[in-house]
Amino acid sequence: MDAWPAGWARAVLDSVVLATLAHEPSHGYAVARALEGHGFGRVRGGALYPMLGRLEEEGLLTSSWTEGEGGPGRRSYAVSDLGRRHLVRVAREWDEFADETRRLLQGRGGRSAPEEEGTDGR
Amino acid sequence: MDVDEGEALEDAVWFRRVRSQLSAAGVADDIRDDVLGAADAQRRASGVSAAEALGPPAEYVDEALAAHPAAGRRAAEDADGLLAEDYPRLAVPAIGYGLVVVGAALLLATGWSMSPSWRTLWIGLGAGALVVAAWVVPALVERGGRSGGARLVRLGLLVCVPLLVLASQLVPDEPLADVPTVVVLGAGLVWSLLARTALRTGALARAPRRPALSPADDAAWFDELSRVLRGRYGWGREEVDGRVAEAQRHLDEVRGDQGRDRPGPAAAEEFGGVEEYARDVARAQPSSTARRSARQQRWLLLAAVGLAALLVAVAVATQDYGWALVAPLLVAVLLLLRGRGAAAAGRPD
Repeated sequence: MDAWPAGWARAVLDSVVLATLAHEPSHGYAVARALEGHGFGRVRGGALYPMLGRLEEEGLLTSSWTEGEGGPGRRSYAVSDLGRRHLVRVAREWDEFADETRRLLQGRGGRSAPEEEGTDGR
Repeated sequence: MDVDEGEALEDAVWFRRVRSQLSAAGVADDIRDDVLGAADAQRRASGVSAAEALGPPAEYVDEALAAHPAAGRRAAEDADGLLAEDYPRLAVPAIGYGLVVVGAALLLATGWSMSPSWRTLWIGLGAGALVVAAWVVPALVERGGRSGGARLVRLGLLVCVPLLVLASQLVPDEPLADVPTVVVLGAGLVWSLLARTALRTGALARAPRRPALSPADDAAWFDELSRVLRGRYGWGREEVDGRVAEAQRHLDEVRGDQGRDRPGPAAAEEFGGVEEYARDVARAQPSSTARRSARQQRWLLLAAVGLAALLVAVAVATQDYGWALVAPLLVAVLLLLRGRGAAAAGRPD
């Protein structure tokens, strides 16, 4: 598959941006390239930088500025301790979500809705 | 990581998001803390996570703004969203409000009739000019990104206070004519009503957006981004320069990867419209705007106190204590006008 459906990519974009930066601190364009390599399509600057700013505002990322060599400077982003713990939790929840979705898609049924529990014998 | 620790972490992120979005909506710190405190109490009472008890952060913020009238009012009065060009037209109704206050004060101090002298006129016009200048000029200069220049302007205005008092001694003090006091009050009321009507009907239009940029003009796109982030959202020059340089570097790298045979995207294609991009960036980082607003409020208060000192000094110098009554009223009006003027100007689309 060349690229995941755009809706799927959008839904997890902030988490995969965090995950990419957790692997290695980097600048915005490198993150966009990495995500493109993983099938998330081309992430435009118009979506990427406001998101990086928001994640930084929320304390999940930190940034530092370095002057450029022969060009404009660049801001490098790294995941904070809070961001790493947030990522662990998101990864676990994503596993559960993926498991449920897989069960449903394979026709094996998902977990019961809360109000149905105890009434259907499961 | 155990379950409790995970929930605490999830709650921390939830509260950070609500805090950030409330700030982005222009809610003042005290009201924001009230809303967060109420949310925390609800979460504790529920025994589940904040997201489970209170829903997604964005929905909770919408509900809080709707249910908390003070929060909604403060958000509507948020001054951010003005460009430098907005300030002069906001001074137009301010002149009317000032005349109303001066007229009312004169009515109380001198009765139905007064006999103004050239000196009285000099002081009145000078004080009015200082009010408008203290409100408009530093904001204009600062919104243009020259915070040092704004500081100099404010200091200059403070220096004008004793100069105005000294100069008034050179102006003749003979009465000119008997003037009904209500004339000043009436003129102020008429001026205010006309100005408000003009604001509402669009005759005093909000600063227009710049003409549409050429899609290929990247330099103009980045210049406009810098102008909008500084002017409309009040970001500091250093912060803006960093954001612009980051975007320029990004664009250079996108083009570099596309090779020489393809021109690569223009800034407008990569980042979208300037106004939309600036809005997204500013909303993502509300703290940048909040810092500027707080600084402006401090300087505004200083200007107001300086003006009050001027009017009291004038009252003592001229033995006309009507001016001492004008001072606190003018200061109160000055402080009120900023929020009302900003509300009239509206927020960015």
